[in-house]
Amino acid sequence: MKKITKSYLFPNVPNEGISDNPTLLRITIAPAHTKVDFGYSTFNSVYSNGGWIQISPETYMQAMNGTRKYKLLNAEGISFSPNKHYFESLRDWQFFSLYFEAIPAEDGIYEIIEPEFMGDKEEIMAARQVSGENFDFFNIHLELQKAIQIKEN
Amino acid sequence: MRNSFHAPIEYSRSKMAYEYTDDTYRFDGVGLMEQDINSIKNAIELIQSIGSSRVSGQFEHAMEKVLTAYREKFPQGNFKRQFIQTDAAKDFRGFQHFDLFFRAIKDRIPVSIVHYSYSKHKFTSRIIHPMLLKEFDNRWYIVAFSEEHNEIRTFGFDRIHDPVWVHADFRGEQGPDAVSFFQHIYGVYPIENQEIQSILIDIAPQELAYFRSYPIHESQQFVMVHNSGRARIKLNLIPSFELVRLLRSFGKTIRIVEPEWLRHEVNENFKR
Repeated sequence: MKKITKSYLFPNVPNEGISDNPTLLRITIAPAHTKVDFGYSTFNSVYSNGGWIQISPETYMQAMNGTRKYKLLNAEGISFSPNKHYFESLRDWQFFSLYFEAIPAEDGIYEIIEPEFMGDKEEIMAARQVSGENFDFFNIHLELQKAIQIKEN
Repeated sequence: MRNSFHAPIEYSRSKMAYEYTDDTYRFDGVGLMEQDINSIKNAIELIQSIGSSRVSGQFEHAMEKVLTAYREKFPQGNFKRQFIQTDAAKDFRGFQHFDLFFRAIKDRIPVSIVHYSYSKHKFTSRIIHPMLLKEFDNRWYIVAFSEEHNEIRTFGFDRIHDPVWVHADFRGEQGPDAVSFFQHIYGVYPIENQEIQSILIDIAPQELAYFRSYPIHESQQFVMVHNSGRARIKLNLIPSFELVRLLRSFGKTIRIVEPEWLRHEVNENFKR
């Protein structure tokens, strides 16, 4: 595994999910963690007042062909379940970031799983299709060639 | 020098000149006349009245130091009595990014941002090359070359999340400079695919004084003024969303003569 001393940002990351809400926006690989940025808009929400969002502390990141689970270390802009971040209206939005254990600084394909629905990928996708919303992300392609080094303040 | 400023100087016979005996000594004093001091005092009190937080958090912090020193030196200053009131909004979303963008422009550093579009209800990740900080109608904007759009774009501070400096070639000097970009625009968001054009507006007598004293844009000209006070003005600019909003705010006291599309746009008031 290649250890890094600087942080690298992937400004646009190809990935697959059932819907684009939330949207996976950016990924930052840092020496001590991996930061994943998301945006959620209540615009298409089926819930009154936009509903709410939360994230399971059991959420993890994993290479598609690997077995190691990179644990969720911290979250900003979203509450850990059972707490909830409530929206005010159908015109609301929230930017949030999840911090996972540091993944290797090399090309890879990852997935981010919130183990709310236990089962295989197809079962998870089917369950999410019922709710119309998605948190699990698959086929997250990280190509180091497309990363940009972050300039520290 | 030695007596007035306590400067450590000695006469050197070998050099036949005075020299500092302490290499680290710095001469910080500036010779100011009483008139200069009064001007600075007025300027400091003006900044106090306008509010340094309007510019940036860092500037506010620096000014607070200056003001503290000033209060100690001139306790009789007019600090308790407010005699200027501005309508600057306080604590609005995104203003904390001011210093980061200021330095990005100054040092030519590209920035990765997450942007939320109010109209599209959509988040996007973008790399921008900041060129100008612009304030309009009490809101702050960053004008930047956007890699995604391959052109200059304006982004409201309130729609930007988590800006991060990145190591990349700076492309903020491509195309027109940002100041020229705004020369022909009222506001910040030009309407897409619109060029500089003539806009004729008829105004009711009760609005004449307003348009005379506060021209909408530097291109504003009166092409006709009736005895009654009814008048027609001409603007030469790129129509913007802010211009449409401003024209709508006059209600029935103005009428767009041409272009027709703009008349339609302004009359569509509140239908959306």
